[in-house]
Amino acid sequence: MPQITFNVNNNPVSIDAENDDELLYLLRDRLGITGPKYGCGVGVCGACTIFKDGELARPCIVPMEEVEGASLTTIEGLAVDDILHPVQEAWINEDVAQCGFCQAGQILTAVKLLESNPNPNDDDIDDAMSDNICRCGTYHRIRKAIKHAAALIQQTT
Amino acid sequence: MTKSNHAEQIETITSSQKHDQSGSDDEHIVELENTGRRKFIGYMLKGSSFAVALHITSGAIRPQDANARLLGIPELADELDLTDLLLISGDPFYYDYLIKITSDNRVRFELPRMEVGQGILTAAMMILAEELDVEMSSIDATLSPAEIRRATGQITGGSHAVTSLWDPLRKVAAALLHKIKLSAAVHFGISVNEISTENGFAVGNDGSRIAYSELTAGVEGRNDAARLAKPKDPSQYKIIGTPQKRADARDIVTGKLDFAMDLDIPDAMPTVVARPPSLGGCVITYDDSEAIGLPGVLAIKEVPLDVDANSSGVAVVARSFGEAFRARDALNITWSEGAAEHLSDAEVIEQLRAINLPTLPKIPLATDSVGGEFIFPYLAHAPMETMTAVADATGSKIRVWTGAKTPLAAQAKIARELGVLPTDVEVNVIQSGGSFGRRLFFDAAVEGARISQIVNRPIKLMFTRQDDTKFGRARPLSLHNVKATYTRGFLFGKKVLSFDHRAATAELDLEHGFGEGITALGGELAPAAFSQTVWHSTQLVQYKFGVTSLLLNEKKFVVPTSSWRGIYSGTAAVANEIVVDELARAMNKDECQFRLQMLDDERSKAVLRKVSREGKWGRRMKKGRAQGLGLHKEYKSRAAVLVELQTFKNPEKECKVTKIVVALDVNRVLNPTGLEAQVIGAATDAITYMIRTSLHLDNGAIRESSYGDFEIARMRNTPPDIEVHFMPPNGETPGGAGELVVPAAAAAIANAFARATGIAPRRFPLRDFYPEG
Repeated sequence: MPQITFNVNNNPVSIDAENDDELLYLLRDRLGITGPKYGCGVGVCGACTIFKDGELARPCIVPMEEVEGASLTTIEGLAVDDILHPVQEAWINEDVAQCGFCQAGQILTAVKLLESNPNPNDDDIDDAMSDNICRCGTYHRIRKAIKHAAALIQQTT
Repeated sequence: MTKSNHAEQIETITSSQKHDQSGSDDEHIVELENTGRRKFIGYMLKGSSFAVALHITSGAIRPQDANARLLGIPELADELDLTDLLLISGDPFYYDYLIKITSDNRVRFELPRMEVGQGILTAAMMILAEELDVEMSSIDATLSPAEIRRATGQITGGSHAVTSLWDPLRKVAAALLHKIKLSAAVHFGISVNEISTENGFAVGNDGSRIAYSELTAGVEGRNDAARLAKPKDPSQYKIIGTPQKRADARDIVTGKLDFAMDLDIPDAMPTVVARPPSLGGCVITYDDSEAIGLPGVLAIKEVPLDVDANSSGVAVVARSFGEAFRARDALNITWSEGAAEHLSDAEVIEQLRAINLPTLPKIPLATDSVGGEFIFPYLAHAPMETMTAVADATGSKIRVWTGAKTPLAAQAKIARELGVLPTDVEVNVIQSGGSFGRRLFFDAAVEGARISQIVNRPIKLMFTRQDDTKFGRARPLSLHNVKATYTRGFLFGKKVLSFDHRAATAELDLEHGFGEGITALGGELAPAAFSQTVWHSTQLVQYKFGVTSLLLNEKKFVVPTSSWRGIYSGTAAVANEIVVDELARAMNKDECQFRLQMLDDERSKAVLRKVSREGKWGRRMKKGRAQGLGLHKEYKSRAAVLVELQTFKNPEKECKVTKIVVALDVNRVLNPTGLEAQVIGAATDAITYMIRTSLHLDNGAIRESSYGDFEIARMRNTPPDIEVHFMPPNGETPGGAGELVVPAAAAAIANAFARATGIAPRRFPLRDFYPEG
């Protein structure tokens, strides 16, 4: 049986790859990593967003075979030894989440934005975050939390 | 007006057919002279069933009664609203909580409500922490499973969660605290008056301390004696009224919060259902020979029609959802034609137009009228988490894990479907990813339990996003004729004479009743009575507009429906507020000043003044931009919204809300942070459905399938500039707020659009019907 090997949240994984299952269902249903959520299944909502080799990816449309040798980070792997990422801190401080279902994707997308743009303005945030849907309408606080996180990151560097 | 006065008013109306009433100074009575044809309209409350009937009697008044009158009757909702109905039905069962003090001196609490993101779990913990003198962080709160003894006391909906918890939870906690103090008094050998409490400890007069856990195990079950308990005086509050972050915020940002599909229920396997190409289609035959051998597939079975003869499809159980999807797509299914194969929106609209009741006939004086026909489309609730349920019907006890706002109605329905007693069904209520009205129903729980029984294994049923959009429930399409009549006022100035609203909507499914089996069955057996009850207990006109009458007629169509945030108010109240603006302009009045003059409600005037001041109403705007106002009164609360909107001549660009100012009077704000989140979310919802998106019924099927074509508001559609203002506490029980801002914000958007473009908005979403705006 063909095996596929990759790394998720710094843990090596080797699993049979006899089908062309999308990565999301492999993570959730077979590895029990449930932080990435099923929101649309077609890559338009962002609820399942993860990092694949440091880049944003939507595992609901990533075939499993594409992750051979890749390094993945899900929301569960963002905090290091219980030390929250500044974006997670900011999300708590601004009390962003309502139902919380989309927030893993929002947070990882914001982390990526701040990596490339440490001081985003409202237009930058619009551009970076408008592919992630929040049905509760937490956008206003996401915007505040991104600015808050930007300040936190600048303080620590 | 008190309730008994209201009864008198009804009596007055019915008797006025027989004799003239002169000398009344009631502002609801408008004299109309020389009317050629007289009509008499009244409401009559039918006993305790709350059903409301319409009586139109032509020629009931003899022609020689020269001073026949039209009577403006206060709407039922002015006297007894849906919040009251929910509280009256639920109150006998409210004093029933599980509040345990564990051996490590923590508080274990089960909330008999549903958390869907609205923050009710955090709000309830605040009440408990306040009254019990413990820290929020020492409470472990979960959602209570369905408890059949709670009957009508375990429903979440209609924005009454905080209102319904307020007295019962405060008093049960206060009674428990009193019991703790009594035990401490015995322990220390001093008077109970000398005991104080702090952070989970009782403290004696010499400062010695004892943990609550040494004194009590807590309470569980019916506790009606607590009705007599005295909760804290609000002047002593340390937590209530202060901003508190969500109790589960850390779990959410670290991905630890488990939704139903994240639960690790042993052997429960991913399951999807192949559904028909159009609504109501049924499986004739299916061939699974290509699907059954695919990797991971565990079972494929047809789901037969349910007890109501609703179709489902063919269920596929697999090792992963991806594998289940692939097997589903490999099925060869022959479907029967749906119940309404060729039905489309246009035909639904035609049929609704045909059943809509007439507005009052033109009054043959020197009068004019404004208003017209408004059409609101089918709309998906589209919560981020689709309908989901884990179900295990393999044993004698049916076990279900699902997000249910009416878990007892779910329990009853599952029992009926599976042929067992409700007591043999365990419904575990799991925090969910949004609802917006969708989770008043429990479709996945019922279908999941049935499938688990059919395949004889535990399953995890998930509606795909496509299932949820195409087959899930929707806000009913609705048509509203709204007409306001006023005198031209050559001599005495213009005066509003009447305000009519005739709504014809696709039938709203209210089968969940008041959340449990009995009224749910009532809602199913007599849907019209239930709809009328909800309409008349939610719809009112809060302006002195002379004769007002608001009537509903409904017709059932093939699209399954459920209340969408605001129930009827999300559409009807919006149309009313648009006409209020049009009336003001027709009478050459400023829209804000006109409202202030005509409102019959001081609290509404206050929130309007607040947004007007804070939002700088009337400031000069560039061409193509305008401000707009919207008000809403419901759930014992008041909201006013001012928006600023930018429109574009380019049909490719949709109009954009650039600023939102909200003022809210909810009697008392429990958690300002949580309430602000609800308000902003509601305003965002208004952007979604007023400007951006809708569902389309197209040849018996819903055309949209996902967020790709059901385009809810995104970050770039919402303004950075949002202000929310709360009015100070007024001593009354906290009112509801979850849906309150939806109609006000929606109306403000439509009114700003009209002021910016000169277009009278009649159909929504705006970008589809008025692209040039």
